[in-house]
Amino acid sequence: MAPKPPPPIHMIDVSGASKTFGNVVAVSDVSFTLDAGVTALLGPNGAGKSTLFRMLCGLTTPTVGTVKVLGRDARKDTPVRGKIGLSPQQDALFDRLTAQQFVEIAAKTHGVANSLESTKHALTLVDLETVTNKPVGSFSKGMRQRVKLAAALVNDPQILILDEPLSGLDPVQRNRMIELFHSLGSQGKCVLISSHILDEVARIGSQVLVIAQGRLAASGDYRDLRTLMEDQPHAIQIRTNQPRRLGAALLEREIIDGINIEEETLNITTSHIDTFGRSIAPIAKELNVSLNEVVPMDDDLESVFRYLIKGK
Amino acid sequence: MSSIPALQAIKLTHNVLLKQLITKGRLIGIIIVGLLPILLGWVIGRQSDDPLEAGVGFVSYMGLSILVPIVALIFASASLGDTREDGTLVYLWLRPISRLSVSIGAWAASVTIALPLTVIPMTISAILLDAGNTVIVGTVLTSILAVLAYSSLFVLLGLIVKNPVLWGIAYIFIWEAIVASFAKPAAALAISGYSRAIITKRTNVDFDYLFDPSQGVSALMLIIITIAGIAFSSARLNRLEVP
Repeated sequence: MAPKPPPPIHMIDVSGASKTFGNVVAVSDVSFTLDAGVTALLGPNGAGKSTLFRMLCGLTTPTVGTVKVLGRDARKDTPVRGKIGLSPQQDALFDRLTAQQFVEIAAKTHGVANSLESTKHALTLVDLETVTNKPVGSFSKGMRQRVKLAAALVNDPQILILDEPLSGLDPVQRNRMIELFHSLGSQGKCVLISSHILDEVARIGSQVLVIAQGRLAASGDYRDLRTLMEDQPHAIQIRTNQPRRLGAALLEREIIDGINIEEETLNITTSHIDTFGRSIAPIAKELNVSLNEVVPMDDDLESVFRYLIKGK
Repeated sequence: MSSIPALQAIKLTHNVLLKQLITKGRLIGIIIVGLLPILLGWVIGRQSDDPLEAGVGFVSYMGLSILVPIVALIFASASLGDTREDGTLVYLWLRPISRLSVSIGAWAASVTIALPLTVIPMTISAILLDAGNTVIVGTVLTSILAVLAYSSLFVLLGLIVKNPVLWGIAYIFIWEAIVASFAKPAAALAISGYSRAIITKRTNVDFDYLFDPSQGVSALMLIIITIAGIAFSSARLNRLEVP
């Protein structure tokens, strides 16, 4: 009988990982594997994204479970740390160094053979080639973010862990960086990017991990996540001069599922968001009712997470 | 996948942390503090009837018990302590370099600044004390050994506690200055006990200290403290939860 082949080594392998700080559970029983490509880690602030990233890099140990990068534990294995590029969430840099010095130190401490060339290349990738001799302490938030990215890229790592790398960047820079991430992913690198902005995640990659309250709420293709969200009833607030009349008409036509009226405010839920969007104005016109405001109440990320957690 | 050679890693860590440690405010403050023993040395040298005893007493109490530990505390506790507090430690920690190299690099950066800022004013004051070459040589030798030991201890302190400067001041002014004066076991755990012993033994000035080790034992202990501090810092880095 042929020997059983060893299980494949994933670029990132998280198995049953939990992290607690005293009584606070930051990450709870999270498992996933990742290989080459771009993956977005989506979650609201305080969901456990940064703690998960810190565990991946070995900066903190999981209380329970295992976290492996390229089959190794980055906390214990010195050489594997040379294969990881991290752009941490915190803003702190060695402020007295110039951008060139900061990135070059990263290159040298990673043992990059031609550190000067690699530094120039990394700074060019993030569009900082014109300010290399300025101290990073004088940089704007967006520039500091890009210096961190350059330092994470300078050793050409197989694993890139980027904690909120787009925060502080202007729209043009965001587009440039998202292009860069896709290019790195297609080069066979495992790029894991965290964000708490849904639209940003849609553009970062089709693969998503959703984390909420420390738990992995969903993982897979972003389009599946959208579908899941679209299946949920939407909550909408309408301010009108005749809420009872308008509400009754919407119920009668089976456009809405639930209704709650408070003075001139109509709170509704609907599973037919597209029909609602198309019909609300004509119905109001037909009834001669004025629409002062129509506000979706649950298209924020927190609501998405609530749906996902409820669905689990 | 390979690690960075230890010497290269130490040099890189040293260079980065040195740049972070040298701030204008710190330097001006320390230079002003350093001028004080020079001035006092000059005054004592002119007015004392027994320049040897006065000189050794001054070097022991002013230099080795205050100036050297305070300067070492300010720089050594900040070397890794500041990076831990502000979150920049990750840029040294998440690299293929050993923890020992980071600890040695941080210690070396602290010593690079603390040595000239203490040994130079102490040597000048020893010269102005006019107490002879034995006191000058003893001052230089003892100051160097004390800086090495204190720096090592305070690098570790910066990795263990928040507000290491406050803890360090408590150690210097409560443990070393008060507790160690009344209890022999406490004196054996005070760096100043060994550094003062070297200068008093070299100059044959007897101050009736509670704790009175020989020169050889004192020098050896200061070296052991230096090595132990670096080793514990390295172990601490291994266990540290990096922000």
